[in-house]
Amino acid sequence: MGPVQSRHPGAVCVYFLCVLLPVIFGIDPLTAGTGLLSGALLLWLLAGHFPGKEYLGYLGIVLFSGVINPMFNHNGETPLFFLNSNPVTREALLYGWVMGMLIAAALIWSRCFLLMMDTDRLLTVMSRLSPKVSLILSMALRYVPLLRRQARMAREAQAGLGLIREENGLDRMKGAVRIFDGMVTWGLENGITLADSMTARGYGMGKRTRYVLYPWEGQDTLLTAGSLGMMLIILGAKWMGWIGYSWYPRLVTPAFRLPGIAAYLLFVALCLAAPALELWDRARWKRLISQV
Amino acid sequence: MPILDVQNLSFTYAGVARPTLREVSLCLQPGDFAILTGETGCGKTTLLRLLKRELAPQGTQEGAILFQGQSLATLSSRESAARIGFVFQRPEEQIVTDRVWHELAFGLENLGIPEKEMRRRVAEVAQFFGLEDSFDRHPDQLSGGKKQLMNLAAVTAMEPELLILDEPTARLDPIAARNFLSAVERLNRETGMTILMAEHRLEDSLSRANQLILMDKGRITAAGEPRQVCAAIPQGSALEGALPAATRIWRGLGAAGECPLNTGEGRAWISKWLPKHGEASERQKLEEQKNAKAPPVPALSFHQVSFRFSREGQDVLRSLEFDLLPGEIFGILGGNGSGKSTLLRAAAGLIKPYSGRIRFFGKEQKEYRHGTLRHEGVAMMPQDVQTLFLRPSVREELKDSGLRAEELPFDIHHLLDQHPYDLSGGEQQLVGLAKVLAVKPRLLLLDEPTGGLDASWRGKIQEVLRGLRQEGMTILMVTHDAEFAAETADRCGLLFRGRLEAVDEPHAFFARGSYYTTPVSRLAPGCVTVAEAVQTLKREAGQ
Repeated sequence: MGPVQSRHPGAVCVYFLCVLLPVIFGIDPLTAGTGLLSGALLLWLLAGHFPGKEYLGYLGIVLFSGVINPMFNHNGETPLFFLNSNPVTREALLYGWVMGMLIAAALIWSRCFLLMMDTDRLLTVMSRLSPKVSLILSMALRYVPLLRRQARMAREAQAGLGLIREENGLDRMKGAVRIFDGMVTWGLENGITLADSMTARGYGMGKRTRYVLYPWEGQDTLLTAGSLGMMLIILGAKWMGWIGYSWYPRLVTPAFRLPGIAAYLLFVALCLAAPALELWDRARWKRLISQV
Repeated sequence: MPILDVQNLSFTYAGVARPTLREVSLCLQPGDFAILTGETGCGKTTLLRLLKRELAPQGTQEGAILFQGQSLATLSSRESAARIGFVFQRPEEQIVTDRVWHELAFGLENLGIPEKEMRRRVAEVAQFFGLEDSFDRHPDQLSGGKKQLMNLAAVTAMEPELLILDEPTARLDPIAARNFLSAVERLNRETGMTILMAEHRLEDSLSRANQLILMDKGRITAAGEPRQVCAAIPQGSALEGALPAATRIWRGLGAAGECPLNTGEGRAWISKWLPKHGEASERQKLEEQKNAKAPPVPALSFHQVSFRFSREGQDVLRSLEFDLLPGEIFGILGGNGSGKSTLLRAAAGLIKPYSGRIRFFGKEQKEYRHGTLRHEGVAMMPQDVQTLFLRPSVREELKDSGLRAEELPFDIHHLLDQHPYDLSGGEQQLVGLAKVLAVKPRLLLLDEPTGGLDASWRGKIQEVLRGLRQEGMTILMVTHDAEFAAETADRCGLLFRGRLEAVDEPHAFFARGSYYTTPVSRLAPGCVTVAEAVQTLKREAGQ
């Protein structure tokens, strides 16, 4: 388990949000590019091998968006050429590419997020929001494989008697209907015993507490506060107009004064925090093992 | 003050004329370990459910149930949930959540226990029951025995003062059952928790308890210290079959001296009882029965059969070789994961081995066209017989199979209007068997035919199987019920890691084994039934 993954799932969620929000809410080649590259690095580290195929997919999204946007969006005042008597503008072309980078960055970070969070971790976060929903989810997650297993057993029971024939589609359908019948009966029975088991263990007595698999630690506070703080500064800088691009009718780049540059650098640091922690952790283990 | 005091409790189910419980009285002191036993349908489960208010069935109730001197009805719902714990028979049905840790914490969450306290208690029970390794896993990945241990741990995490268990080992294999019982015993010895457990397998449990309560037709017929109760059971009573083999032999030999409750005590008692201490193995000279005739065409033959679930996996069946003769009952024994069920599924044609040949009545499996194998008369009864049931009543189940109740070699008329799921385990087994017989098999494959059944039901199933054999049916059963196999089968085989390591006629099979054998055979080598053991020992004693 990596150093980010072993943090509290809530803190991990906050960190990912803090990276994603500035990427999404500013159509900005610098944040989108930083997000895309750092995300690609993180994905490589988490996947454990060079994810060439996935990279190609994300590259495809960038190129596709770059082609599609200028074809349908004719804003912008610098026409490059005319297509069906509509202008294809430089602004729309660049905007399309940046948009593609933004989408690819959002996807790549979401992919990393899913690699880090299993159901247990997601449920921990969910149960903070609503303990009831998290219990229902936990029960549902158990029920799906249970149903599948029961269906397989019911099918084998019937097949073992030769009562299911699979020579043609109609027979197959009849067989499926039989099994479905049996599953309904089983489900109802099982529901009653399950309800018994729940009340016997005091379910529905009022206020529930919850067992937390991942306790909150000091480092989680540090991670959360750090990411939130950095994100607020970046969004603030955008609000103040220190950073940010404007696309139509004419491309306006930011002025790149000190506060703006600092805000961009801060975002680079935020994005690289996760991959850097992963790399540092790996180096530490290598060192520790070589010392044994 | 007794922890549980039941006074003249009578109970009648709503809509039923006859009472299920009649004037039941029983009293448990703190720290007691009581076993409640009786035939299936005698009212054990009803009684236990009445003692746990949340599970009490609908009906009219007379008499009083006092929990620590206080009427059960006046307990607050919180006290009732926390102070009385309940473990059900089927391990799967009481699992609520999708992780072991969540299951352990579920009851505590419901009670609103603060997080710090909850963490301590979950950690404690996980360690006490050896569940640390499974803590993060899905309950469905655990074996039946581990699941039931988890259920026990989940209930004891709530720190109940009285723990009620309803035949908790009925669905477990013998080793898992013993393991579970020692966990319960440890709970009783080390924490002083009061235990009330319904059981019909007294072989491994009785010597751990300090109270034995007998029930018959809704009444308590005897209660007290196990040795005294065992001595007092009348000869020929249906309950006799449930007693440990050592106790039954002791009763058969005149019930002199201290009553033994397990095999160890039984051996000690026999060695005192026998005037001369003959060496066990020399007592019985087993005669090898050589069959000079040419062997008939086997009903089922496995030749070099190997099977595995995936290419990377290990072989579950390894070059398995065996012949099943027509008209015999063959019992395959073996521990969990030895490949018993896989062997049966291969025989039923549900899975295809990657090498080797399986022949039915001399013809190869491939020669039967798809689906026609079953018409040639091979039928399998699954371990979980409930999976066979698809209809809301037994009558419709039979109609669905195109069968009339009169055609069956046993009587199920009285069950016709019931829902198959409402039947007892034994009754379900009979209805399942009826459905299987409806396809008129020549070769019957049975997966754990006695799982969860009490002694008298096992007797009934045995009778039915013998009757079917008389009619010329060949029966292959896999079971971990060594006693049932010993008494029913014509030959037994021990399956270990996908190979049959020993095949023999039951007397020889169980006389050779010293670990994988029946309690009777341990006490009187070469004997399979209690009656045989009693006779042999009497003969040796020169009586």
